[in-house]
Amino acid sequence: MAGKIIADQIEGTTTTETVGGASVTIPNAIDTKYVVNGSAKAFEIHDGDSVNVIESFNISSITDGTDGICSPVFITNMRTTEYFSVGSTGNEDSSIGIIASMREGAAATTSTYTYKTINSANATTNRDNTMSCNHGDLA
Amino acid sequence: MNTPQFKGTHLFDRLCWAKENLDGVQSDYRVVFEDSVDGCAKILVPDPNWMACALQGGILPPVWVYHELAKDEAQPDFKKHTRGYLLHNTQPVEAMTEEQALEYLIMKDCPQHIWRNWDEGNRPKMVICRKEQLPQNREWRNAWRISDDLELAA
Repeated sequence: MAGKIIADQIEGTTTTETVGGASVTIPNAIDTKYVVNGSAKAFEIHDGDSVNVIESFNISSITDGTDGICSPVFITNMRTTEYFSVGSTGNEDSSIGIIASMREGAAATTSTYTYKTINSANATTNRDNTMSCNHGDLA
Repeated sequence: MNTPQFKGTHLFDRLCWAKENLDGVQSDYRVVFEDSVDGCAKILVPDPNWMACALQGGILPPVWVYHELAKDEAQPDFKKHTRGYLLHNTQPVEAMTEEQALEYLIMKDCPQHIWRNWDEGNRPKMVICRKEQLPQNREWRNAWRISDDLELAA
């Protein structure tokens, strides 16, 4: 059966530790708004060569723009164009891959963003595990 | 598995349900399109979790909802979406076939100037193909174009 817990705050057991000889109480509570607002809203991992999506959430497609350039598209739009995107990439060997540019070539929209992967020679490239994650408010 | 009645449920929550209950479906289809005379062809790859939602039905909003949001965003004074409720409160679309899902995805994720006029001009600007029909390695990827010798299916 589906259920729902409504809470403004999550709280664990408050602990006391000794720091520098002094007893310090460690608070262990957080407002749920921080949890909800701080959660990632979309992510994707894909193979840069085939652009096969390995794992994802809240993504409807990824467009392979050219070598090293890709554009994931959200299922649920973000509320504004000012959301936070971060990416990472690499092979399962020592090949260097860097996400060099988020918002590559165009400003992000609330539905899509474009990013670029480069190698150690600063040339666009593809890596086996190319991934990005997005934080922000949903529409 | 039956889809719960999702009208009025936040789309993000529906995706959480789908992630937990549906297996991803890797499509063999790819959408190839050219949005610039100077640029190379782009390849749109459907997401397997999205495809599972499309085939399941009752999860995704109608595609016109995305077009309405795009219209809002195109306004010069756009700051943030105020009609996000369209995503969550509009009756979800029924189950689609893979072909119907691709048509939906094209209208959602390809630029409108491509899919609205895909066959106008001297050559098609967009084709749907199987992934085996793409070059098998990425040599000269920056020069990929839709072939002029293409035989289009009816």
